[in-house]
Amino acid sequence: MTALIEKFASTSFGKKLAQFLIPHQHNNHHPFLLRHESLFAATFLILALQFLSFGSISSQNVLGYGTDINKSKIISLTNQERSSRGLSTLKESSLLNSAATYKGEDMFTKDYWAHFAPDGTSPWYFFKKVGYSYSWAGENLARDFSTSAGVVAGWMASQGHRDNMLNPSFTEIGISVQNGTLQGEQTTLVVEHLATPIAGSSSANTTSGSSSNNGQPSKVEDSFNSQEKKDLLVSSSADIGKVQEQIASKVPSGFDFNTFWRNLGFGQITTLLLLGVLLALFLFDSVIILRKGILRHNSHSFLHALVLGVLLIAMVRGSLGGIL
Amino acid sequence: MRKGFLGHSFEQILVVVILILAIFLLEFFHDSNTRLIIKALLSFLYIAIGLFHHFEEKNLKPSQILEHTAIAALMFIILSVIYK
Repeated sequence: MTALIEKFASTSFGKKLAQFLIPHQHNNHHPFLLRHESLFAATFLILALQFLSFGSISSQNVLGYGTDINKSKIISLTNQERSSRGLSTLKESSLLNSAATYKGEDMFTKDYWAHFAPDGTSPWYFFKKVGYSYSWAGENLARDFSTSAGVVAGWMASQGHRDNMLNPSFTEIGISVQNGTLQGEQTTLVVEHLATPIAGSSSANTTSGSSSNNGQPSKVEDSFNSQEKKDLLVSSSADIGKVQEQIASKVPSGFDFNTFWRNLGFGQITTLLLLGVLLALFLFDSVIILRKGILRHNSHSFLHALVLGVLLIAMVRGSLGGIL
Repeated sequence: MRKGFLGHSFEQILVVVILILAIFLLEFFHDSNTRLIIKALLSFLYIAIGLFHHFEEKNLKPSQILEHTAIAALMFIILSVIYK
């Protein structure tokens, strides 16, 4: 391998490239791309990419929320998933949008990440609050995602959420996307409400969000007692008279590559790429230095490679959002 | 050189362990001010470990300080992107 590198480095293009990539006598055994000037440039490039990508989307501050999630895109992607399986598309309901917004506000106000609020308020309360009567209802939640495609991919990767999205009984959809601080962390919260209106009462619901009780969500949950709630959570679907309400009971814990990939925005892709290239260069440099037995006091490529490797893993892990 | 390379393994392991511990702390604390302190301390520590190492080996040069500072800055930015 070393002989091949030496041969490549002897060509005119190779000589120039080698100055940047390979440790050898012409660059004092320290590639230009691994010197502090290049490392500072990479740092500023990553910072600029964050500014650029966050500035071009619906963000509030750099290194803050910075997400590219929007309601229409989620509805469109959900309908694409349904259409591709021969299911009917869902119609956007302004009442369900309002119900989802109320639910999101309730989660931020009471600071919880769950289908049921700590005071017992159930997801179905918000449907009733906006005056939406349903025969089927379902709720999906997502947080910390970066893109609409990532949110939909995350739900599709979880059986319970997928069942909700592909339930042929649902005919209407409402989405809310809200930024705020949840459990001490700045996040973008996505609430998806799916439902089938009771025939006749329905989507007359195109008028927007009139509240049925004009107040804040009350503490109570109408027809549910705690045992019923428990059953609902465990079984993921429960019959209450002729009404069916469903939330996902199990959330997958593993790493889903499709969700990860679709959740990457421009800034994240370029940052991951840049980190990956630097990591590869530092590792390559370490191997060459070690194999050639070069004594170099002025750099610790392997240590830098280890640090970049840990950061890369943390970034991949941090690129995944949570669903419920 | 092989001996020198292996001779650094304790420092390398120490740095990685500190970095992983800091990431656990960042996962644990959600307050942005606390996170900022952890990220800043970690970055300064990385520079300090580098300076101490080269000072001890009597080969401390401005380029080494700058190299460690550059990696520390990169570390701070990446962690700020992940842990807001």
